[in-house]
Amino acid sequence: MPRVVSVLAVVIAAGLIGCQQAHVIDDLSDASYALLDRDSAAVSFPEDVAGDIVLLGYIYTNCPDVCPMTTANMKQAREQLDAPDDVQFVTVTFDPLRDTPSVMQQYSETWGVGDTDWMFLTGDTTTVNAMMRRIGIRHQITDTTTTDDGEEIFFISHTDLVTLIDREGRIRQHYGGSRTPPEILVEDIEKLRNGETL
Amino acid sequence: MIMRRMCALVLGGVLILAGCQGGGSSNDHSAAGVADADTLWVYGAWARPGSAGGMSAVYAQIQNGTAAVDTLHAVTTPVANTVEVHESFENEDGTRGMRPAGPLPVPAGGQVKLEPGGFHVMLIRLSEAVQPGDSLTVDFQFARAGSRVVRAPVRMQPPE
Repeated sequence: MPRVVSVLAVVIAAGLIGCQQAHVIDDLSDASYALLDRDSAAVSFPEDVAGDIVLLGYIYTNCPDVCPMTTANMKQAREQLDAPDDVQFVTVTFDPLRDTPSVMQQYSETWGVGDTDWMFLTGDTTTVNAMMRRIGIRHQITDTTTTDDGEEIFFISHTDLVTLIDREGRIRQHYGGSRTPPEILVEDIEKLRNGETL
Repeated sequence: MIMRRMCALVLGGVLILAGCQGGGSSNDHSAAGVADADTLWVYGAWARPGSAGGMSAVYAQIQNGTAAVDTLHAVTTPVANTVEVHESFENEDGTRGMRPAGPLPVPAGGQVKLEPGGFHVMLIRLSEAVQPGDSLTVDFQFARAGSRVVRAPVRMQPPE
């Protein structure tokens, strides 16, 4: 009798392991967004990063407070992973009219990653908006100010996220972009590397 | 003998504190504990990196040791012509935005923190790039206490 119970336990355990399918928020493998990198080179996202784990952040460069926290967290995660070859860091702007490739290049240099393979992407408004809609990033102008020189500058309320995408182009997790300790991002990237569930 | 030595130590301490408070408006102390109970201090200032023509933010703590409410009504720095106090906030739908927050009251005997995700000083259209290793001169101007000039080192991350 105890032997029957043991066998049953093994069968149930094996069944449970088999049932642990990856939790997928959205499969982006059917998507294709024609974007521009900071050197104005064409990037097709996510095809051009297929096969890599991707940590994707969303910013606008005129954001002085929340977006820098997101970039800082991603940078720390990248440093903790020792700039890995199999993890692609990608930052995309939701303010493409102002955030041209050269502005994104300046932003990358400001953050000390201008000489790395970290992608800083922009594009035409229609494409960027479509990508943001698909991923669930909301953004709208909510505040403006006028500089002493008379220039009107607008600021954007936006979703505060970073997204983890697996090697198959599937969104596996969203995190608070400015609020998630880099250690958690690193831990989940390691889990994806090891084929573990998040 | 012991009493005499203690007196000398106390006197020395008083002189050091007096020395710290001299020299007009500059008062960039690193800890609130240094602050005189009867004045207003700005300390722990730091700034985000930013590119020329771009944005930065300055954070600091303001300790008001006086018995009167004060108001931060302006901030200036040589690296930006337009400087504003703003507050980051979260909307009901979870999105995050900013709104103007000045003039900013500082309660009597209280403290205001300018910190990431909350109140911050926005440096708009930087006249030059500011990078880690740089240190900005920032003048906090209060209605009652007047000017408090501090140095704000540029950092990628908040100080530990």
